[in-house]
Amino acid sequence: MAEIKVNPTRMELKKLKARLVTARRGHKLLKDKRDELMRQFLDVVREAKALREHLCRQLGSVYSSFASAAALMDPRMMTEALMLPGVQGELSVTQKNIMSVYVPQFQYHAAKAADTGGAGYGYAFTSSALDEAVEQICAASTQLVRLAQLEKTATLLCDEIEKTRRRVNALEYIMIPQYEAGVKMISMKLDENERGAQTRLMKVKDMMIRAQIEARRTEREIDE
Amino acid sequence: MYKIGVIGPRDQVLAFMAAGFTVYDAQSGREALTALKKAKGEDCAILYITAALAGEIEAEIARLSKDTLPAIVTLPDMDSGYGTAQLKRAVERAVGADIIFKD
Repeated sequence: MAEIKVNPTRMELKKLKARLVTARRGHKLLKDKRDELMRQFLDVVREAKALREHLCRQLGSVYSSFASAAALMDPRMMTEALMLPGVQGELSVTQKNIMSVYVPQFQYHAAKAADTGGAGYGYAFTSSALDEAVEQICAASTQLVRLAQLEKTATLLCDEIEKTRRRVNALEYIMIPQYEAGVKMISMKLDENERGAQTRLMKVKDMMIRAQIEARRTEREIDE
Repeated sequence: MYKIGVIGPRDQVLAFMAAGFTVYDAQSGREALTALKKAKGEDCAILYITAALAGEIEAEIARLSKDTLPAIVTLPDMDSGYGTAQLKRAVERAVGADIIFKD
């Protein structure tokens, strides 16, 4: 691991310690965020999975009845019949904030068009399989919208979880150990300097005392 | 008010017109891409796309899915299992291992 290069001064030590504290706090927060995102993500995915399986079964029969209707009817008449929707859906979108990820919330209100009484076409020239397909699709539309919301939420949360996990790991395994190593390095260097200074002072004091003793001894010898 | 769009071959997705969804005809991946861009410009909040076409333009869909809107979703169908596979992949990416779809 590459160590950070810093001058071994008290100023740098103070700065580094402050950054270490911030990094630790950020790590804890991001870890909590990741756990909560994960919890929500798994709930959403479980629901989406169940709904998709349900819709797969429901729409499977729609596709087959639609295919048989398409085989029986003239394609132009079919287009004409479906041109005017029997159901008017109103879709409005709001946003929800999940741990600073903005996910869409869809509100869908399906209302049968009043003037057509449900189906948007006359029954005279259309196949009964078409009626069935249209009815089932209209019934499934609310669930389809719900599925879209769940899957979109899952995709957005998945991206955010990936990002957050990278950040947590970077802090845990790179940044925090680097700061700790830096703090340790500076404090050891400072201690070493202090010890060096102490020894020097003791040595100087020793030399001074020796010089004084020497001076007194020569004085005494001169007196004698 | 937002629209709901369906992209796919006309004979497969025409039925959705009856539910008030906007149908964009696309027979190939390239046409689907053009339809996708057109639908995005027309205020579509939800876009359903058939599994076969979604498989062809997967990278483009992944790029467009980074925004909050539109929500691009694969139409549920019995045969391909593409939508379920996408969900499974999302779980693997987020959690690191598949813990929901294992059977």
